[in-house]
Amino acid sequence: MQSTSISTYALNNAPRLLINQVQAELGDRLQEVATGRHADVGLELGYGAGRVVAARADISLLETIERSNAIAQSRLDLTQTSLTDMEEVASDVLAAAIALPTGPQAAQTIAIEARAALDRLSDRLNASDGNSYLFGGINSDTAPFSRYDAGPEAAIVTAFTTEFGFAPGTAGAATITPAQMTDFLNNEFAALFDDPAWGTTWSSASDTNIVSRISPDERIVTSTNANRVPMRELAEGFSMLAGLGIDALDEGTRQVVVDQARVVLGNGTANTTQLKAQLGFSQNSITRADERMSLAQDLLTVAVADDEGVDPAEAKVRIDLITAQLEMSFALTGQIARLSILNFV
Amino acid sequence: MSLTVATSVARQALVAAQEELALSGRNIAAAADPERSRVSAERTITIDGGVVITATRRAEDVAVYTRMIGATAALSERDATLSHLTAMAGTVGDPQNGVSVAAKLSELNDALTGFANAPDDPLIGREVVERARELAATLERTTDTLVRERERADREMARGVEVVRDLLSEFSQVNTEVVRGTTQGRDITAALDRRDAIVSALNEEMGVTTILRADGDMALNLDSGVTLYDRGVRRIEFVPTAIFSATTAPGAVFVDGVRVTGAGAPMPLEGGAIAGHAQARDTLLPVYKNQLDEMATALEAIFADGPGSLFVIGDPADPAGTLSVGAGVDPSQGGDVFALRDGTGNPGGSSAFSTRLFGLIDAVEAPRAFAVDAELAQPTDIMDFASQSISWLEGRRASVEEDVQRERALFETASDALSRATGVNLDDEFALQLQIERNFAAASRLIGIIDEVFESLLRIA
Repeated sequence: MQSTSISTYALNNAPRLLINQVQAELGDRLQEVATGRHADVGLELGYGAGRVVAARADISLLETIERSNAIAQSRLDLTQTSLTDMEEVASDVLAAAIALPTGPQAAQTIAIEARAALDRLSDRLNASDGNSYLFGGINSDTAPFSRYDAGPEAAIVTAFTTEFGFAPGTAGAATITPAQMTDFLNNEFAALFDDPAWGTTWSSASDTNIVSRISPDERIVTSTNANRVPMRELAEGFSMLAGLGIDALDEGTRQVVVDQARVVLGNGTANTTQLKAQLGFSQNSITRADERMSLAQDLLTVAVADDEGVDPAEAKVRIDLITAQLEMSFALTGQIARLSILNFV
Repeated sequence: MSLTVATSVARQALVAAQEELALSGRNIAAAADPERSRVSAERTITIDGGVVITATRRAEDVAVYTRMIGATAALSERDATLSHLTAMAGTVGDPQNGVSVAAKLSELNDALTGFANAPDDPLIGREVVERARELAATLERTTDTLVRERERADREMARGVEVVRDLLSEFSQVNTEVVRGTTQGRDITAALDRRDAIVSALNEEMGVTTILRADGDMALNLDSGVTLYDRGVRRIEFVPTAIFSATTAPGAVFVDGVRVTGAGAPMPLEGGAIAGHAQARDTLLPVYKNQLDEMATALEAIFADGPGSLFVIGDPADPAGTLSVGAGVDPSQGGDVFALRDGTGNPGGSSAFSTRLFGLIDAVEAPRAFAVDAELAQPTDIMDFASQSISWLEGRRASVEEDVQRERALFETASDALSRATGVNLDDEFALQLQIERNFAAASRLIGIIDEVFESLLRIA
């Protein structure tokens, strides 16, 4: 008999329950319209929540790598600039050597030019990006290249004196024969630019270059070092002209030295260009990695936004609906409260 | 039919009307209390054709009531579990805010990549150490929250057991009253209402089913079948843990000597808040703890290398709660970040030595075997393990939340149906009162008429 009856409690309670639920939803939807994201992302995504966190981790890794790529890129740019400068210096000296007039006067001039070139070489090889030395390899905290007067000069003088019995530029120099000089240049002098003498006299750089992670899966060499062949050749060529006192040599012997210097500097220039090309490949790789990562980042960002985001229009429509529902339920509550038999009897 | 009989009938009608009015008044008083049921008078026709109220009947609907208490138990259980999962979800936070272990791990990985690309920069190395410290602190904080949640579950269970004991002792009294009233034929509707209210309150703590006997006696079983009350309260035992730590093995609830909570309970309790808290305390939170421990252990192993170890574990029994940054690499503990860069390698002391750092990045990204008890897919790398852990937690929370919504809807439908079936309708009661009033008036009028008839008779005589 009671299947169709309703108690006053149930009647009055029905709109109250509705108001609670609807107001809770209204709060969530308002937040969603304001932020454009789900009110409770974790609850909304459930088992998919980890995927969003992983995607965010990927994005931030890409950002980190892009930042350090910028540093690697600027290191490579600075290295290229230094190498270009070294190339220019070498070409200048080479041009002067090729067109060298005979006589001690011209020899003295080129010796001074070569000496300046050595200083410039050490200046360039000791360049830093503000934090680490560009040509130090992984020994990036010490200036890799010795200034000419801070060791190498003395070593050359010692080698010369040991070979000939007198110091370069002194009176006996004119007695050195071309054959003697050729022998000296190919053996004792050349040894100064090979290991182990190179490592103690000229350079404290490491042979190991800096490796960078330029994308999540790519690691490439992003530096070079002062022990590479072109650096040795440039130092050797400049030292021949600057350190052997060529103005004091006999004309024929001097020609041997200048010829040899031309060959060595020529090789040095060519090898410097090749080194620049190698570094250019690295720069290119970084640029391409950056492009790829930026694309991946865009895709991931869209994926995250898809997962976390809500359609604000949809949320707004829900709010309108809910508000209407709330208003109706408020009106209803009032009406039900007024609806009593007492008012009519 | 004599006038005396007519008087008697009219008098009976007056009494019946008053009794009915009294019952209706009681109904009106009960209208606002969902636990009270509507009562109605049962009339019997007397031998002389009059009416007496012989019993009061209580509106009841056993099927709907059973559904309602079942829904109460299920809703309380899911609600209790959800409260713990929601607290744990707070440690994961919004993915946007990056407060989770997985987010901190990703920051550490970023810093490590930064350091590998600039190994000679102590500031970036310091960044790695700081990120590691934050990661360790996050693991510790998460463990802390987890231990506190288990402790809260333990307290809630103790409180629930107390409530159940109190309710049962009251139940015992009310039940005796019902049995006695039934045999003596007294009005027991109030006692029945109270007994139903107690059973429904019991179901908020423990899922309980009822068995009714002929004499009005009620026996209570847990939803798992263990007897809770049968002509006497059965023993309920639970020893709460005073000081909770990460390695505490807390006590279980025993009813009538049978273990009803925790793994290995032969007849596990299914409904009620106690079951919900027990599930969180004994099953869900320990699995999550296991995941955190696995992460801490893996981190320690990945970054271990003599003086360059990034992490140390204080207590092997609680790795996640005691993970900290190794002194050797931490400048604030007198260490040197370059120890992290070098480990036991770098004999030449090169300042841009990055081999170990790249090795660490490889190790972070390498698949590892994790404990099966952590309930996550493995082997996998630690980053994926950490994000799986979030999925696990949020997935549980979402599904329990869904359960809560469903159970709440069921509960609301059931209590609405019960209120419709057994509740009071004020308008109906008022209409009834008007009708009683008319009856009363008619009976009074009848007595007046009989009086007049007597008077005429007497005057004639």
